[in-house]
Amino acid sequence: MDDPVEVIERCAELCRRRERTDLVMRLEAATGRWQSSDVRVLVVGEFKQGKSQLVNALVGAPVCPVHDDIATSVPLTVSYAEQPTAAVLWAAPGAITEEEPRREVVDVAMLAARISLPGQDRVIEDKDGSRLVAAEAGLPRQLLRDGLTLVDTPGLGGPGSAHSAATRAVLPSAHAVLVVTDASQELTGPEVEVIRQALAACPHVALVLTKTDLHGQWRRVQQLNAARLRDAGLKLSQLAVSSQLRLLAARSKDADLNAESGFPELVGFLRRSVVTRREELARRSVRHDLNAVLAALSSSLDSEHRVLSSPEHLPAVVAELALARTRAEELKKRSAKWQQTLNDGVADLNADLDHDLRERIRVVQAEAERIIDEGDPGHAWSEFVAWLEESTASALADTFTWAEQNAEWLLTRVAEHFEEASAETLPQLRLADTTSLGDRIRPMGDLDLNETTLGGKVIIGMKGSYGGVLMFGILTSLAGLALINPISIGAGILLGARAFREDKENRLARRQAEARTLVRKQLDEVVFQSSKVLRDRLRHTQRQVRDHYAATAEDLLRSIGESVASAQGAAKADEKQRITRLAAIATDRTTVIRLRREVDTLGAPTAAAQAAS
Amino acid sequence: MSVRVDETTAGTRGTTAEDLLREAAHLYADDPAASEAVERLRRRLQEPLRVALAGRIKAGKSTLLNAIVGEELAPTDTGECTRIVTWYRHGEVPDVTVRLRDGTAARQPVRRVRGRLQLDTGGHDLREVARIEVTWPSPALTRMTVIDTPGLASLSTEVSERTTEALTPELGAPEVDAVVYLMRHLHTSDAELLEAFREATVGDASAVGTLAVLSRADEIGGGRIDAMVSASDVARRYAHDPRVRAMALDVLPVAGLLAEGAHALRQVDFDALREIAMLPPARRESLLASADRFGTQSVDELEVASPALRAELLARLGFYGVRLASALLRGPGLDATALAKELSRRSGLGPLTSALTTQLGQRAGALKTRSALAGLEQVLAEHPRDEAADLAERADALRAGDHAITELEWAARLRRGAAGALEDVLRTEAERLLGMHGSAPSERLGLAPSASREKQLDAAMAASERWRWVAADPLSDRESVGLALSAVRSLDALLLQLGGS
Ligand SMILES: Nc1nc2c(ncn2[C@@H]2O[C@H](COP(=O)(O)OP(=O)(O)OP(=O)(O)O)[C@@H](O)[C@H]2O)c(=O)[nH]1
Ligand SMILES: Nc1nc2c(ncn2[C@@H]2O[C@H](COP(=O)(O)OP(=O)(O)OP(=O)(O)O)[C@@H](O)[C@H]2O)c(=O)[nH]1
Ligand SMILES: [Mg+2]
Ligand SMILES: [Mg+2]
Repeated sequence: MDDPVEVIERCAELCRRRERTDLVMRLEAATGRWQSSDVRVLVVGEFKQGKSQLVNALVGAPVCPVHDDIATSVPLTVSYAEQPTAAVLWAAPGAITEEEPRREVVDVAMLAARISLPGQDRVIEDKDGSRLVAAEAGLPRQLLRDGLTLVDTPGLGGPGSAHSAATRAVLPSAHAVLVVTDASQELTGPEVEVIRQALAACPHVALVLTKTDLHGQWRRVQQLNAARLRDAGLKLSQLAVSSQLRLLAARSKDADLNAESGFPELVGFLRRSVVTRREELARRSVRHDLNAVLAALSSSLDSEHRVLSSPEHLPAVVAELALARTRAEELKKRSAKWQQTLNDGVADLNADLDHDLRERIRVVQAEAERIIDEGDPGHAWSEFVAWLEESTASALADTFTWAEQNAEWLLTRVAEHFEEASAETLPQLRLADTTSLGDRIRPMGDLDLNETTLGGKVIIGMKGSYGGVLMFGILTSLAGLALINPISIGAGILLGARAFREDKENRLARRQAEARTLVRKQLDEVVFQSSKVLRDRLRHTQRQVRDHYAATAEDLLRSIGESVASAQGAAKADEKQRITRLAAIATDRTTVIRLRREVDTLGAPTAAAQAAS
Repeated sequence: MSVRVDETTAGTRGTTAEDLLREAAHLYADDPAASEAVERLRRRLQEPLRVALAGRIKAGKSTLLNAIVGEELAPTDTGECTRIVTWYRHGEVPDVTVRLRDGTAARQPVRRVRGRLQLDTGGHDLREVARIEVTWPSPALTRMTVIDTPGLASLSTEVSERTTEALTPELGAPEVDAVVYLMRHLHTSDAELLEAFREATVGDASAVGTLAVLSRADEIGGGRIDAMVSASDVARRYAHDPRVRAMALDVLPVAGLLAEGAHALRQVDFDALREIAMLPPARRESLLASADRFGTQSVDELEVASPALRAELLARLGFYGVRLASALLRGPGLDATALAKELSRRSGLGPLTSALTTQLGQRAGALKTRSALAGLEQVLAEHPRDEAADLAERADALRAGDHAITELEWAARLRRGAAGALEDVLRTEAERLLGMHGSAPSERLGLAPSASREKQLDAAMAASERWRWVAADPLSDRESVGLALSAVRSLDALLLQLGGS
């Protein structure tokens, strides 16, 4: 059983025959979700390690800017499109939160040039002062067909560290991360830190060793890296590639070169560990939807069958269904256990998040003040601001990751409560998989709300694609604030040496005070804006979850109503109608049983995935 | 030759750093710790300039050291290698001594494996070791003592800290006079360290004691044949970056491995490379597609260039070096010596050594005096005595009066954007007049070396008038005036020299 769409279609046919348009609609939504599940793979690493070239070699087109010196300045998202397309995204001046950036469509061939910068500059600005914040490219490539989306990012630790901040900020939005390091040397301390952060933010992380064509000793480096990672207690796979050879192989159609490039393994990894895993989740979600629909169908078939075969059961059946209806109504009430769990949980989470955020920012602030007090902040102000931006972006990324994990955990609990309640009340109408609880409770860090119990409706807002990038916009304003010139210009030639020294000391104290105030003000702003964003996202999530379950309870009620109607209709039938309808019901019930069996095999790993692993 | 302003001015007072140190030795004769410290400073004045090679781990420091010394001394490796600060100084007899933190020293046997020294701590814990000192009879070391340091941004922060400590000690003056800072790219941690070094050095003059090197430059273009051209562009851009300008004299692209390999090129290497160059194009390109192929593929046509020899060539010249050699050998007849010379020329080592000898070498006296005076002040502060007060004042005065040091300091401040109120032309001229681009009169005046004495005199007088005017302008700010006065003083010395010779 490979393509769920076909099963969905047969199921929909049955629903149409039974005149259940509500269920048909639900199935249509399931198809939509199945087709749109994409996977964001972030390519990160220190600058000049060959990230952009790696993406180019993967998609076989020079979309990302590659240069010996000029650097990638904004995240570039490469995904599937029937025709090559490209766009750059601008944030209006001063835009700091979740506003949609302005899209400007550009020629694919020009994209790389539009978004690259000679290393030292910080941000690309439009005539009206808008900042370039991201870029997108669409390519008709087989690799991207299944929803794989590659994101090339600005290098970390480079001179324009505003770029680093942008990269750290988008980390939590990834489904998988490729950390890129070249084979010229073993991992450095900062690189291991990046891996640690990536692992915290997302479950699938691989280390990609690049430029193996150039560095003959890459196997040594690979071993050294493995040892480094082991020592640091980090578990992830390591792949060695040469983008150069891959591109050469593509040009000369040379299979040997392609094999030597290491790309077949990389593509395999992406398919196996990322796309397939993601597909499995999507499959589970579809399976869940199908099971719910089939349960509703079989419930109405059952009630109709019972009444048709012995009409005297009608009162009993109707009474049973009436009880179920009351309970289903209970589920919708605000006092329902799942609602309480949700409301309390969100309130707690709000408080915790606020605390977490403040705590992390406080650490940054303390460190910043220590730095200011130790020296003259005028000397290395731009380095200091760069440091502050990086630390803040790191802290924010941590909080957002933490928020996401906690929100997911909360939603699992809500889901459980809803399941329990609906299971108690409506045994024959259970909405969840009957197979096992293990399906619903997944290990931490591997949760994805796009699936199973929530039926994929709830897309948790924490994984926003541009939100993170714009967050750091708060900080860039800091860079523009120049402190008064550290070297006194206006002191005047008449000032004696002593007076000058005093003046210098006063000025130093003033500069330090000024720098402290600036930092405090900026960090307050960061806390204010970020907690607002967090609160908004959480509220949004809460609303979606509530709507989702309310709709599910509504579905239940409708199903019960339908069952009552079919039972009552059955009681009115005459002998002849009874016999034909019983026969039809028998066929439909077999179809339901057969479909259920097919649905059960849907969640199993596909043959392709098994062969690949 | 260089303008010995320091001697003229110091001479009038009859005091030199040497004199002060002699007095200090006298003063502290009864205090073993202090007199030991003073003794060290006196020796330091006699020694050649101390140049430290620093940078992130695996920047290619040890390899470059070998290239500069012209001998395979320092151990190098793909993995983290240098863990202890190691001094390479001149001496007639090879010697390896481990200096411990507690002040004791232990001689080690001198062992070399395939050229490289085998350096170990002789059983001492790394933490107990202050540094290793290697003495070697190498001509290059008579001009400077070279110091290899452990890499920064190492995973083991302890290792990195050793370098930071050596370059920017918490207390007192650094032990080194000048730094060659290697970076493969300008990483934030590079900028931070350069900044820290600048702050730690006395008198703000480190920008004139620091040269930055864009190291492993051959790898920058992904090993393409035009890699070094690309590397020069990158280096030029870095050199104009305000953060780098503030901290280093210049940025030079160097492929240390290529320089070292070219130096040690043998006839058999040459034969193998030529054989490869002569392969039919398709075969050659396939062989040169990747380092793996080059080092392992068996090729029937190649007799001399066995896979083993090729692997060795790869390790010694780098992939770029091999590609470059094979391209060069396709052209008109080069012999082994010419090839080695050409490879060496393209490695960029030449400009580095000449910068070390001119830009740093000409300033060696001033740099050393500056370090020695800072060291003396530290000793005086740590061992305070009533009789020493006078000494401290005189050290201060000597430093302030030593125009060579003033020149260094102004040059450094200029690089950081000081006297920004002045027009750029003037600031560029000031840099030159202060001797930043060489201290010969013609260099200071920005004239061709062949310019006649009259022409030089004219130029110097015109400049002198210009700068006096800046100094006297009531609208000039304090900094511009200070700079102008320094320039005038340099010009005075220059006129004296021109007139007197
Ligand atoms: N030999 C070789 N060179 C490569 C390979 N991949 C990248 N390079 C070179 O490495 C340099 C940097 O490559 P990029 O892809 O721009 O690196 P990046 O990590 O995206 O750099 P930033 O955007 O600046 O962070 C370029 O000069 C490339 O030609 C490779 O597989 N082999
Ligand atoms: N291609 C190329 N490789 C180089 C160059 N310089 C050094 N390497 C290689 O880079 C690696 C590290 O060189 P080292 O000289 O040991 O570097 P280091 O900075 O001393 O390293 P640590 O002491 O461990 O910090 C070795 O494998 C060298 O062969 C160069 O100019 N070009
Ligand atoms: Mg890039
Ligand atoms: Mg070393």
